[in-house]
Amino acid sequence: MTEPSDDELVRRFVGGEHGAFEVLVSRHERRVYNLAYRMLGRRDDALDATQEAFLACYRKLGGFRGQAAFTTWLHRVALNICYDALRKRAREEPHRDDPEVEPAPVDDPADASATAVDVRRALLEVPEDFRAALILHDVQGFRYEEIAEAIGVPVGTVKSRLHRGRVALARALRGERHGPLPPSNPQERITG
Amino acid sequence: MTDHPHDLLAEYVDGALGPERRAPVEAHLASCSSCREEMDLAARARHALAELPDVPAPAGIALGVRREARRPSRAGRWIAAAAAAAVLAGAGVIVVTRGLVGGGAQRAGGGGGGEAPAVPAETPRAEDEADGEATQESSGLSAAASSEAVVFFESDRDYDPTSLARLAPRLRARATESLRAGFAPTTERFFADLELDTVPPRARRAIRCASQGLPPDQPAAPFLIEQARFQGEPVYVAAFLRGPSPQARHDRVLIWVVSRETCTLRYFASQRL
Repeated sequence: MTEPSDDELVRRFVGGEHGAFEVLVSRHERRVYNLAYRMLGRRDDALDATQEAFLACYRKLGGFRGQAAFTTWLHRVALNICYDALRKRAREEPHRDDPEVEPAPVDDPADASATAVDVRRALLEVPEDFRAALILHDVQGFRYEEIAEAIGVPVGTVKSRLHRGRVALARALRGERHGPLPPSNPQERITG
Repeated sequence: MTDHPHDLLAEYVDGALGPERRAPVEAHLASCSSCREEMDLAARARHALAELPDVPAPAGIALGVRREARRPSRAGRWIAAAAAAAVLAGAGVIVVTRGLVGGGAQRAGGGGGGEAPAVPAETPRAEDEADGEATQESSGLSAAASSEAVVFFESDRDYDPTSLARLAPRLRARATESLRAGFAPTTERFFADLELDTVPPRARRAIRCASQGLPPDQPAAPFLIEQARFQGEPVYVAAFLRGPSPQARHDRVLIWVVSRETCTLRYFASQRL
């Protein structure tokens, strides 16, 4: 038996089957989390944004008309939440925008290599709009047209942002390397 | 080609151009050193991004969402609690959330310990309560207590040591009321009931930030957090309940003021219940 499609799950959820939404969440949470992590550069913020994105979808799904693919729509919602988080961060924590402040996620073996840490940091120096194009295309493999739909800009703009973002990232990687990471500081005692 | 073809360069680097579209790009590259350099940089960045590992999502990342999916009334409960607190907290105050509900299995809440934290303490004097400005704070932190929720709200209030000292006895009264109305009687019970991953982000951040600097072996249960200012600085003003041990009944209210930027302690007060 084949897995139900996203569209089918959306239909079931709108029809009152709440369990269908859980399937959508488990199917897409990793991608959304990675998008948020690469956009925001911090795991706790990424976790918040991911939950917020799914909650927003949960509440808005009744109004989802299926013009776009569910994944595109979900990524648009997630991206908007990331933009909001970045705006809020700039407003409230101007100093924490410095990527040096954030310790490396030492318990993420997948992200532990020096290169991955460098790229994570350099990404945060790329302007947000370019960064979104880079993550969606070069990390997550979305097509230009899908990104255009998710971001709400013409396809040509996506390609242009992608190129400029790549150049900005390479320059950040080449010219602005950071020193050793500060030691990790446990910040989530309360979750234990 | 007079303009630099940024959009085509993206496709060129991706290898997505057919021969007939590739030719003019290559002609441009032959005559434009800046585009050649950019293309080289772009190719490196593309490679670095392709190598970037997929970060594993934390376990249970969407637990809160799933709970919502199963129990849609929960959202209503959040909103209802927030609205109630908004009314209590008065005009100009935005209530973001409530945080927890009762029930659930017990969970260890931390180690023992019984001494008060070794931080500068200013214990408010009882006579402050009878001060002439007594009503000022009643529209803020002290008024927003509720029975089973962590109440978090934002205000533009600017506290100073005097106004916080005045607040402490009033918070003590609120804490007693909240406990009577069903707030978790011990810190251990509080954390067993707390479903932090269902708490909206701003409130969760406030709880985490306010909890930093609490002695790790003496956990305390936050019941009110106000995002405000202290002598002009953006802070969280948090009220915690704590007992002599995590398993013992709360016997003390702590007022804990931390910088929103660094989560470091700015002011501390303690009141016995």
